[in-house]
Amino acid sequence: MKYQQKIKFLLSLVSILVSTISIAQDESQTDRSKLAIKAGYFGEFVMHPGFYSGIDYNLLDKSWLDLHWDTDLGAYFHKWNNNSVFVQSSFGARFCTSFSMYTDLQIGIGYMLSTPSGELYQVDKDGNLTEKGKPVTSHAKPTVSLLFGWDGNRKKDIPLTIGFGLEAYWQMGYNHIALPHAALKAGITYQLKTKKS
Amino acid sequence: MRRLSFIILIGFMVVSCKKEATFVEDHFFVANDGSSMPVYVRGNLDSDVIILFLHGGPGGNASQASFLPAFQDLENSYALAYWDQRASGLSQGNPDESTFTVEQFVEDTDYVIQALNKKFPNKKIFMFGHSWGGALGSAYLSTGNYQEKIQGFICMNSGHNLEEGLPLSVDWVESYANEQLALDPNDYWTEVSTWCATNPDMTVADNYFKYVSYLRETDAYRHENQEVNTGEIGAGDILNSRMSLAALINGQYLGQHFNILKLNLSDDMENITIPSLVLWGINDGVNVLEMGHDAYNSLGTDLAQKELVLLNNSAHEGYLEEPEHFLSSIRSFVEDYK
Repeated sequence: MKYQQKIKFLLSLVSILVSTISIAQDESQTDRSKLAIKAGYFGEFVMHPGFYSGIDYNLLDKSWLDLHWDTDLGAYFHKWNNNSVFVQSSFGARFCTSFSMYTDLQIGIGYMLSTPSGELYQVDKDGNLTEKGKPVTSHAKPTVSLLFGWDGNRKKDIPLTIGFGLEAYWQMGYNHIALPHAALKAGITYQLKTKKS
Repeated sequence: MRRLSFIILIGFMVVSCKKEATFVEDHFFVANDGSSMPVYVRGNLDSDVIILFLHGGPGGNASQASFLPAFQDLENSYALAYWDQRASGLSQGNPDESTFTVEQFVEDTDYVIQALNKKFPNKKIFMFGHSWGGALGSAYLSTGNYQEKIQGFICMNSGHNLEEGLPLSVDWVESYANEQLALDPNDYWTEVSTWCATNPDMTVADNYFKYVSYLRETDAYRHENQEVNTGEIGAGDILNSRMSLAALINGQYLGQHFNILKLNLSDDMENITIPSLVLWGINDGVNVLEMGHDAYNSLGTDLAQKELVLLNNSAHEGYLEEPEHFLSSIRSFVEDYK
């Protein structure tokens, strides 16, 4: 897949994400929307920083359990190694305990584009070494996350959720192997309100 | 009198401001045919010498070598270029399996040298290949006029002729197994000895992988499994991108799918005429000593400009096992021909 095709594919996924927000907002007719927006830190340790933002759509809301579907868009930067952007979708089960604390287990799949980070000499079509352009490689990105946090919606009327934890993911199609990664994820989720019918 | 004192003071300052050696630490990628390969350059660039290290494998890496004490010591004298080859170490991309050929690796090597010349003009480049890297260096230098770009070749325990070298290594494993049986008869070494005695066809991949599993149980890599100083990789090195988990698990696919079992470059090495140093651990069970003599004899370099140095207490990893002898040999060679 050529670079422009990869970008088009990524933009298509972003469009789906945006469309989902619109649909979810239309469907929700209660004070508390099923939809939340979120943003936070996503990085492999501190030296390989990144970020993510996305939506969290509530599928089931029980006193002890939330089932939710998330879609994230993010990026991270790894000096002398690679810079990557990704879009991913995951299904999660949030187990709620007393004091509004929760444990959230998520499993998902994503798509990422990575490019070498730093100075690069590339061989062009004529076999000459050039400093123009950078190769981009596409990868599938299966993910598993374990997050811990506090849900302000539970006992107090605060439309915020704060969470942190680890995400394990695999960079598939990397030198014909699935390269494992572990990333720190910490962020905040804001529960949208909807118009009363 | 005050003027004289001032002149003396200035003169003293000029003399004492002796230029410090420039310790360079730089990094770049070379992208070719589906692979983006990192080159990490460290060391004394004031020497005007860059030693390009060709790592072993195929599927090993050069990134880890930059942490070895002997290599770090060498960086005080010269700049070293640590290049992770395609589908190895910290290289990126997903190159097609059809690019896993000696010709492709030779082409990559030339682009790395072109990039070094672009980035660090007018430096003298020496090539230092270990094991598979020695074979790659031999393939590169015996191709066309490539050797004109290189000042000197250090060929260490190379796998330049696996066609003849692997059966000799199987014999070495058989001898080792028989020694173990003499000390303590057991089923495992009986199995190894029996298998080796069948003279298996070492151009068959399954036989090769079985042989490697036996080889790893011997002291083929490190003589008498002696303790060595492998340096330290700290958390900071991982956090700061000098090392990554990828370097440890990358290269597995390449190692399984790049077949060099019929490689025999001995005849081609006659084309190599640049100054050369053949450095060999005499107890090596991987690329046995006979292949060290083969490398030395195969090189077309004038007798006055080639040398065979034997490391008597080393097997495959002389830079770990006898670092002082390793360093003095390389320094002496580079100083003679830089």
